[in-house]
Amino acid sequence: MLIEKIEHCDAAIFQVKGRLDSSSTPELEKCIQDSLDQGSKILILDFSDLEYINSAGLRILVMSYQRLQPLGGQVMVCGVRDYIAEVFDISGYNRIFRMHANLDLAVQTFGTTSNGQ
Amino acid sequence: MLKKQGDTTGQIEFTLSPPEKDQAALLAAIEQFGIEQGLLESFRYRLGLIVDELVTNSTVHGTCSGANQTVKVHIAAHESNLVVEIVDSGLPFDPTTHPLPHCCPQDGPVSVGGAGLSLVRRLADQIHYSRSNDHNHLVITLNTAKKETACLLKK
Repeated sequence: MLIEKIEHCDAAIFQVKGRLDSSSTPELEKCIQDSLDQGSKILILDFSDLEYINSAGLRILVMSYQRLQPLGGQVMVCGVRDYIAEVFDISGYNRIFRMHANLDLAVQTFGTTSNGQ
Repeated sequence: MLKKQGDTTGQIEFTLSPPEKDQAALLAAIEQFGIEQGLLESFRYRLGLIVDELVTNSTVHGTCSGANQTVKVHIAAHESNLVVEIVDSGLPFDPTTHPLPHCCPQDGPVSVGGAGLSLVRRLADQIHYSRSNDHNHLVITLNTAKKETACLLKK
């Protein structure tokens, strides 16, 4: 798994590539926790190049949501492949995360939201 | 240690002992098996995820870990389906009757436990559990024909 952090003034954005499974989950969890500890309330995960995710990977997203939601923050997920989108669908997590087709759209939506429009 | 036995007839078997050590190698081997069988990427993902979640369930929640424990995974590809058998020496556990978490209400409390089992039960076409000789036996059927037809219909 490769994690790339994209610098943004108001959001924590991570591009996650490869496999997000039980062995790689702790690395992403630490990256996200560090960002949230620094005050980020918007978490965007770009899964355009994500090939695999299991329940351990989903668990990180849910825990981030549980932390951000009471603060008015949100978790955005973008670029998921069709077969991974099915997992979000059947687990019901697509109803709590903001799902977007790609990173540009996610950032646009976030910009709109942050401007109160 | 992961032991792999396979042939060219669409069957493969793995033995993990201790089970918690070689899960990544197991999943890589299953992915390769799926490629060799000509399975679609979406179907290979479904297959790998089901095995991943069930083996994790055995090692983490079923206490099937350590040198004296084993998990065996056998996969057989047939014309219209794929049959996965998982046999472990852990505590009795029937994933077909274990309560599932509720779906996520919008902006409500979200459960993080049980997601793996929930995915398995929704992604598999059939799951059968039995307990014999102090082992858990799971037989999971995935209908390849149905899934591939669904993909074709989407196009």
